[in-house]
Amino acid sequence: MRKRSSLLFLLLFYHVLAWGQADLCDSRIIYEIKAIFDPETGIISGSQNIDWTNSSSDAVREVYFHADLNAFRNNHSAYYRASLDHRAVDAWQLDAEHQAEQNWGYMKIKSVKLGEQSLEPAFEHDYTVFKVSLPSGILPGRSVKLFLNFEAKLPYDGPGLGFKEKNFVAARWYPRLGVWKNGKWSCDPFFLHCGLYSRLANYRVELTVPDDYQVAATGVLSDSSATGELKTLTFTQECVTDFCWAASSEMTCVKRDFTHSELPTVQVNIFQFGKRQTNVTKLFEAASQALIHFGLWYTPYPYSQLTIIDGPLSSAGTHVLPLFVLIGDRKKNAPRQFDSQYQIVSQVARQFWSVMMSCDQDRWFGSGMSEYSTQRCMNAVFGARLYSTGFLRHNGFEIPFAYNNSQIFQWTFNPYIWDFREQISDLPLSAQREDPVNPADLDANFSEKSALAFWTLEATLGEEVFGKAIRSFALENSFKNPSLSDFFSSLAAYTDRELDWFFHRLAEGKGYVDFAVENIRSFEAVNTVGFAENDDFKYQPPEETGGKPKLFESIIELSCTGDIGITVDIRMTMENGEEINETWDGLSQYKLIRLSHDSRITLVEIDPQNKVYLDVFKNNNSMYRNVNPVPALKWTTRWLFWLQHFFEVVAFFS
Amino acid sequence: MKIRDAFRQGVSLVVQNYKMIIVIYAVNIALVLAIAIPMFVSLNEEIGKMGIRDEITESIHVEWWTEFQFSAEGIQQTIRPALGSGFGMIFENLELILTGRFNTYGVWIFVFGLCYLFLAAFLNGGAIGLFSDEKKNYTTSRFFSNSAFYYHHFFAIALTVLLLYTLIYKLFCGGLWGLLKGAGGSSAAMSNISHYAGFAIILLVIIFFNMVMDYTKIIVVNEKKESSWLCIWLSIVFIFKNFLKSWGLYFLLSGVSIALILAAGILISTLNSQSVILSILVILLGQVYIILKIGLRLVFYSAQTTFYQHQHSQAYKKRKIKV
Repeated sequence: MRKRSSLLFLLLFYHVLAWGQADLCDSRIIYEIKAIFDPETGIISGSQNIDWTNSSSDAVREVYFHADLNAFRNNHSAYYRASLDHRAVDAWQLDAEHQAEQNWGYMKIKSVKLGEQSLEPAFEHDYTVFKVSLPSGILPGRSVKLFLNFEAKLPYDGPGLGFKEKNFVAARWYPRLGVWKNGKWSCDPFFLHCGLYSRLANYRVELTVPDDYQVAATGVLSDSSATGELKTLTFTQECVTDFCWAASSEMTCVKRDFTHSELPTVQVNIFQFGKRQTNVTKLFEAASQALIHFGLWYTPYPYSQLTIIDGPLSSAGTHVLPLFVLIGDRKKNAPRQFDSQYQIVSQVARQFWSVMMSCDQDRWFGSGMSEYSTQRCMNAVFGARLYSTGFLRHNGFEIPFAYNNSQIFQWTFNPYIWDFREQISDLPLSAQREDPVNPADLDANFSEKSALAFWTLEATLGEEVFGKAIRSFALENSFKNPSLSDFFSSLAAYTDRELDWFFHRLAEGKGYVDFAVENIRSFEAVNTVGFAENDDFKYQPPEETGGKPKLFESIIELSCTGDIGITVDIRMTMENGEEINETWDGLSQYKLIRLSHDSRITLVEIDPQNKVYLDVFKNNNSMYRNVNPVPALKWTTRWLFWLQHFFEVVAFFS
Repeated sequence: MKIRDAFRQGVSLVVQNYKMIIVIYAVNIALVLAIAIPMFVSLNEEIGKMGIRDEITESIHVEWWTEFQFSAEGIQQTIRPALGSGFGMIFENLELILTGRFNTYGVWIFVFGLCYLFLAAFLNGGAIGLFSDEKKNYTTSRFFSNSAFYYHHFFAIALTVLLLYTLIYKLFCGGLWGLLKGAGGSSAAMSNISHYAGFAIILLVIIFFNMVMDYTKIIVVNEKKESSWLCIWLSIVFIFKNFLKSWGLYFLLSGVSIALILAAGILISTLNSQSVILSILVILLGQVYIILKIGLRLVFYSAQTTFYQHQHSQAYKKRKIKV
């Protein structure tokens, strides 16, 4: 253990040293983009030099790119069609009044050149992916420099990108290189929750916009110049998975420094669009809390800036915007009063797990860790919260109402558990877009369900062990595209416990569990009368049993549905207050427990400490032997009063 | 006649005939109990042995509730956190009135609600008949004979009310929200203001039509007209002839209702406790509140009947003097 602590210290020391260093990571991709943005048409005209070094052992003969904005090109893209069918968070569709020409987006590839030689882009799928065949292969360790001319148009109010009322947010707005992995290109078409996986790259972007426009960008502003009514801003940024920017003539900016004695300083730029009036201090505080907690729990935030964009789009979507936190109108899990804080903490968490760690090659791993970290941070900062709902809901309007006698102690509880329960199908965490599944289920699978998996893992291993393992994993793997097996290695260094349930049964199986107490019976044991059941066959006369203390036999039937096979605790409370504890590996579907005791059983609880967050139905985890009518009576009288009242409301119209 | 006098006389009429409140309350509780007893039996089976039954009894256990909802069927689906909170219920009822989503709680509750609407229409005939009568003294036979005598009118009026409010919620509200959407613009503050304005307009429209229907029933009984629809027209004419006073009286009655509702909300929210004694007290207070609410509904009719009779006789006298 001492060795491990020293190693952790050395890693931390190395990371503290690394803050001051120029190269954050060993990136093999360099983008140099020059773009002119015309806010009148929403068109970005750009040219891009891309320098890619083949770090694999294969010779690569073609190069794949994402042309994501073509997902917004018309109503036939796979993304648009899926958006019509499903209620996923980042779904996008245009209603009849918004189907005008200017509201659709696209990306045209005007030319591709290798040196002086022109190459032909060949689009695949629904034009959201294209490839370029090279005249000769790129050998291992060699580089290729491609020059692309493109024209892109942002769509109206997309998920984390697009425009609304002359306010613009650009993400995935240039031809983005796919990922060469295991001897092939990983370059999924743009779809709900997919097509996001990217390698870390270095960017130099020159963006020309009208003089009166303010621009917020992923990178650091290194140069600016003005020509007539236009200005050109040059941004640079290392080691990010995308380069985003936002522009508006109505945007205001507040810059604040995040400082902490144990963490590097980060400049937090808060841009507010138009009439957004969210409290800037509230936004800054939420970002600071996220930087503190994630910095101390995992690894310090390595970039020098973080940009918060308050508005203008309806939805921040589920896509990761490097160094960007985009606050949309749409709330997700959080109650309204914590909406903006939740969005900030959640997107800062993604900076750690999806940008720095690039854990998205196992999608559920990156998303799940982000969601788990967000919930953990919200727990630490805001503690218990009240259950709240909204009344008079109409077109986004509602009067929020919190129930003052309904504390929810964990941020892990959220209404989206419904999704999880409703999709108790055979959907494993490792399900992919290609699988014939509802993208809304994938959404719940990637975030809520996988977050519950991490909570379960933490509860099983213990907070301290899990915390150390995860910190070690983060320190060792920043900017290294770690995989699940790296995570397993980090855990294995800190625990000897069996983790097969997490890495195999959970990831590849149905991935849920439901423990239940099916029945409890307890009766007075009938003492043996006649010849004894042992070898001496001693005769037991009836009168000899009279003076003995009474014995009670209790039979407990338990069941387990699902295929995780996780070990759970079982607590049995007897009438005399004594507690008997057992464990069950959960690998069989049924378990029968027989107890002989001088007291009757009164209560059986499976997982009394609530460690198995993945248990989809908790209400059936415990059972009393006797019925108590008081809870039903109390709820029925409440209901009766409501119905009387409802009838009187109806009578108002009579 | 002063508004204050109409209100005072209305209250005293209802107090004199308090037995009417008992009859209406008995109908209300009998119908509700007929549904609540099976509810208790099924709920007891569901949660009587549950390990977290003590937590469920003590407070709103949201995790339990979301899971319970997942498997609940029929009227059990109407068990929800708002039941444990005085103001939650008040907001829900406000939402019902302003949006007309009376089918929110499922088919069965909607059907029971409709039954109660026509039952209330039957009892209204008895009440207004008694308030309009010269003797104004409650006897059970007089009350029910009035109910039966006017029921064909009151049934027709209840049907008209259903049709009218369907049109208001579907057509008027749809058009209103369309208009306000354009006026609200893009700013969040303006959008909120336009929503509040929209709900205020809907509330005014509902108050107006409810007032029209109240006076329609009063005119049917007092004028012995054959056509209920003609009485609707006479009611509108009466309201506009006595515009300030009729609205003033309605607003006074509504104000008293709101005060009663708020007081009940505060009391129930405050007393919603874990102790058995306080729980029993909350149940009893709830029943007192329902009795007061029924009484107040009757005060609406009695005060407006007194007001109508007075204004009508004054107008008659004026006409006679002129002649």
